[in-house]
Amino acid sequence: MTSLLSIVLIVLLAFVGSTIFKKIKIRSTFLESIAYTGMLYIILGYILSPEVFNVFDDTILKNLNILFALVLGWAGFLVGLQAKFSGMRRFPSMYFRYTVTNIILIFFLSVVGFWFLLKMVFHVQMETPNMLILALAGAITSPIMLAVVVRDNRVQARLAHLLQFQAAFDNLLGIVTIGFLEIGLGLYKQESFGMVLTDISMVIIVALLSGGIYTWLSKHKMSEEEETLYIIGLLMVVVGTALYLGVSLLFAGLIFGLVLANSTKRARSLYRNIQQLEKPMYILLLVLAGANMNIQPAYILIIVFFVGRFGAKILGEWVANLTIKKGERHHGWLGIANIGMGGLPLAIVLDFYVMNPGPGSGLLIFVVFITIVFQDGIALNYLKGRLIRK
Amino acid sequence: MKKVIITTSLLILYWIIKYLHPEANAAFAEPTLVTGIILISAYMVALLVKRIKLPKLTGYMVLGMAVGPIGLNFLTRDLLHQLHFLEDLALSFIALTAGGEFKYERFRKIFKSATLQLSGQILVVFIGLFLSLILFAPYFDFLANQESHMVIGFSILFAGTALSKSPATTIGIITELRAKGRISEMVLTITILKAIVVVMAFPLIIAWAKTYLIPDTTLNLVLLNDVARQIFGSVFLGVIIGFIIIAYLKFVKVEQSIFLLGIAVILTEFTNIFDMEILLTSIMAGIIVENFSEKGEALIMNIEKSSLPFYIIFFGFAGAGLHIEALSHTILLTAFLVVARLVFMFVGNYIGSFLAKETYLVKNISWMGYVGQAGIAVGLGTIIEKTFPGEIGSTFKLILIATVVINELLGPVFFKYVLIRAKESTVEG
Repeated sequence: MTSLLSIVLIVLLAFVGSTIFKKIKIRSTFLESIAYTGMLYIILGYILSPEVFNVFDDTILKNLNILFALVLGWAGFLVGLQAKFSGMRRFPSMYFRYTVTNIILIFFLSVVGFWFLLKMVFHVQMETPNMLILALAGAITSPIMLAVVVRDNRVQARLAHLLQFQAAFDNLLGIVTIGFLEIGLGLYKQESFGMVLTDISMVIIVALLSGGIYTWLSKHKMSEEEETLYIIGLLMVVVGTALYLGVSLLFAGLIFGLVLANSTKRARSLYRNIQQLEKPMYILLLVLAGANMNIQPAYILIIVFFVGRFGAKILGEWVANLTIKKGERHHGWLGIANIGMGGLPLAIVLDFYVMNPGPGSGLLIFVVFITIVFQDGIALNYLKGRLIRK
Repeated sequence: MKKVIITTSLLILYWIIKYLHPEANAAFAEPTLVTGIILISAYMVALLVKRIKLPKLTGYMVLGMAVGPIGLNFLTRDLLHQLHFLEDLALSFIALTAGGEFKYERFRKIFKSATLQLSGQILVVFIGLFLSLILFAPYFDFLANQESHMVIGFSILFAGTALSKSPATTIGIITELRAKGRISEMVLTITILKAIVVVMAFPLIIAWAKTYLIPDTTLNLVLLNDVARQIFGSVFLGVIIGFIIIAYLKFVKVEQSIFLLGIAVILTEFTNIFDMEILLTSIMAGIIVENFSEKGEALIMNIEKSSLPFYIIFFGFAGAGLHIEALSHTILLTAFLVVARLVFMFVGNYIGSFLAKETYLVKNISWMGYVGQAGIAVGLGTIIEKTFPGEIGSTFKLILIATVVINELLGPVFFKYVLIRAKESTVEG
């Protein structure tokens, strides 16, 4: 089977899967969490992978990298496109301090936790870049799941506001962090500092230039077809450059989206116009993640990530609560609500996988996948059971 | 000025990246980057050429030539090969749209005129070129030293390929100018019919030419069976896919753009796997959807809305793939083939239109809408090259491609002129 036909199969099966799933009434919170996070698509991808039915063989998977690249760039682009600085100023400064402190704390606590558990408790080796990427993925919260739960269950307004802000903003911070982590990882791979800096600067320049070109073109009347063409073309330039120079695709897409969000008045309408592509792109991302997943008996790593992330989230939220929201009444176990991971952690490990393909990075996909299933279930249960009642 | 700056900056950007890293970090990085640059730059060039009243398609091809192997060589032959699937995908999209433009009701109204014009074009172009090539053969290096049976064989092939007309160019110009009116409908209908007839008849033409070019070859049942399998297989697959699309429109409805992309991929891949004719299959699918579903028209409009990147890719890559160097080797025969085809096209169309008692515009101007050649002609050349391996096939293809280069550049310009002259363009320029 050719790569192209495989893509069609992915999309068609995904549609069939989602249509059937929508028709089934789900009563279990756990299954509901699976539905919210689109885990079925990952399972579908895995079933079609060389590990099970071999519908996508190794050659096809290699060829599908171009799609991976575009989908990841797209994911970063959409996050950037929604981050309008003038709009963000409306949020209280405490929200920003809280989220930044929170993500930094969780990231470092995760690194320390993983290191301690792996080296000291289980005596297992893990490469430092993999550990850092896993910690970064762990620091992210799922905005979609929170949004859906908040909408469905009418969570207290102020709390919902903070939770949603935190989930959205830590996505942006997560992508920025992976961009800068690249510098460190480049150095770790013994590339020269100058070269790493040149590459990342080049990608930023291309993203700025592409954003500038779009803004310049958008000053005149343009049809919807032209708008789509410019976005697809420029995103391919940005993603192609990042892929060419080995820089994070999420980061490159984010910068391009940020420039557009803050330089053109059309950003909002643009987002509306291209939104129809979001769902299929997300489905592709999940199915491709499943297809590339490297399932190994890595129980220890899963336990470490699960426990380490859980602990870091609870502790991080608790410390951030104490230090930032002094005197305010807060939920001591708020961290559980933010345990939900969603799609971005997967995108982060996939981004890393595209740049550093191999069993080690493929394993990260599996670890994150398993953790998402369980931690999203916990988060959903907690939100429904405790926060909503309050 | 803005367009020049944007195009130049993107091209310079590519140079800088290549200068910093001669080798890409990941597979498919270069195709992604180059395709992105072509999408934007080709459109910028298209907007520029539009100012001098040339069609946008010409702009896409000009940019393709500029960045292709004969120009800056950003789009190398290797990259073109890697990205060939995009070209096929674009072709299936374009052919699906072309089929969707074929409305039986409309065809019924112009049945007599269209049939007469089509017959006039096919008979006069084929017979005229065939005879004139035999007559003037001693004046062309390629044919002068051949034995008479070889000259007959080549004349059959040249005359046969001259019948082809690019539906992509026709539909591209109509979409670009949002043309509406009798001439555009007539040219499109005849072009689609001609594509179907040529694609169906070509295997027979090859089989006939073989009897002159390859010693001890005769028309036999095995050969005819192969031809029939390819033709009817393509039509059958097209009909099946057409009804699948209709069923989707009726029962599923959602996410039509993704579904269409999937269908285009299925068309591309299935025709490759089963050795079918992609153009015939896609056109048939489009015809079925348009004529057997109430929602067909909306679907075709939907395809047209998202077709811009596909046109740029198809014509940009076509421009990059042009072997301009072929022109210099075969200039005399090429010029003869181009001019003779134009003359016979005019005569054939005039006779058909005259018999159909058509208007002045149809009789005297509309022939210019049938000049453009692209994918089908090159495809036919490839079939000939494969059928006659060695010097015969490759020289033939070289000459054929040289004529296609000229016709491909003239076609959009001529057709745009026709539509503007007929006042059927609804956009400026």
